[in-house]
Amino acid sequence: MNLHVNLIVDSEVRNSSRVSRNFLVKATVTSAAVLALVFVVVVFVGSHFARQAMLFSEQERKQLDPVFRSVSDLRRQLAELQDMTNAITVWSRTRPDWPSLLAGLQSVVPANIQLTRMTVNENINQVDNTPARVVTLYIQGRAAGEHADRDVQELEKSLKEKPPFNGFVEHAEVKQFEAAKNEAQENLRVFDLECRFKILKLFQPVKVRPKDSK
Amino acid sequence: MNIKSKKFQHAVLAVIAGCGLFFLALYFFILPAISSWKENSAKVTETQKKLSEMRQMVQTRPVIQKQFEICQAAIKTMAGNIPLPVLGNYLLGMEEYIRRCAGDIGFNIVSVADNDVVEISSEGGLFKIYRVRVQGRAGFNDFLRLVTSIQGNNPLVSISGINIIARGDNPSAHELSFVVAWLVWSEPARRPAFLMEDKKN
Repeated sequence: MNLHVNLIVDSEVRNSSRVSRNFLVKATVTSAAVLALVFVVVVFVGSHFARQAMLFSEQERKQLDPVFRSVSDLRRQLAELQDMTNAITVWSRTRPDWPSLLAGLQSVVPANIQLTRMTVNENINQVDNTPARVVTLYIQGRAAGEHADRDVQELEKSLKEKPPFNGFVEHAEVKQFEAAKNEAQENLRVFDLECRFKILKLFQPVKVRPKDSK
Repeated sequence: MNIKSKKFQHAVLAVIAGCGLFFLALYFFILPAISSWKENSAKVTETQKKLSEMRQMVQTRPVIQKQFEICQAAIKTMAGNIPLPVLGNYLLGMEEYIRRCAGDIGFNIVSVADNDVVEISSEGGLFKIYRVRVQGRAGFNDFLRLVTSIQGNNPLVSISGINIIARGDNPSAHELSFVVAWLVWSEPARRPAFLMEDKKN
């Protein structure tokens, strides 16, 4: 019979491994604790600095805000003034140049044509959601001579193509051409001529929705 | 290791307590701190972006101010040609203007009367068109001179509604009527303050 008597106390028992289990446990626990501590410190320091940065940015924004608002107001007032200027300028620019048109009419009417009536209608209508001047010129007259039709056609052509009309007139058309009734002269013709002017748009400010302020 | 030993039991208790404390610290302090950090960082980014836009806008102030002054000056000049009512009456001033333009031109003005008022914009615009009708008798050349004078003396006055009828009994003098249109303020009391200050001065 073999008896094995172990006289070594538990605390004196040595591990066969090179690294002590106790040491491992202690090292692990210590490392974990240190890492946790570092993590906590980093989080709190980072949070603190982020808060400081946020407060600083907010303060800077509050300091800049009054100046920013005054510049925004100025910009808005400038836009209003520009709308006003444009409205006035466009109104002035779109008015038909009647002095030159009337003088031009004198020069393009052939010698054997007598105008009996001239009517100009101008309406301010909405065209493509923009107010616009819509102008129409009606001329009634009499043409004498063998070539009365040619003369009236020449007048029609002049009102379409010659200056100053070519800048204003979009379309000219003889609406009526017939012999004059109750007139002694045989070759006398009466005519109606209609000229439609190019549509002249007035200024329409663009409505901009204000940005939502935070 | 003897699991029944007090040392072991103490160690286990310590670990459990430690984990519990760590969990509490994590839940009540660390996670809120992380959340706060993320939130503040996002706010800082947003605020910095806004600040950058604000600084850019503020930097344009001198340019905007200059444009504003130029615009104001232009409007002050143009406003001189926009008539104001006298105790609510536009016609008096307009008739005076037309007769002044007629002056020594051989145009016989028979009447100057209100024609209509046209709103340019349906949405409460700044201006409207005030139109008066003039009737008279004159030769074509005299009418041409009058039209030249009326439009030439005020760049904002527009002629329209012309009606010229030749008279059989007097070919040199036609029956004439025409409309003179002015640009006027929709609400004179609402015109820019700098124009009203100028008027007071």
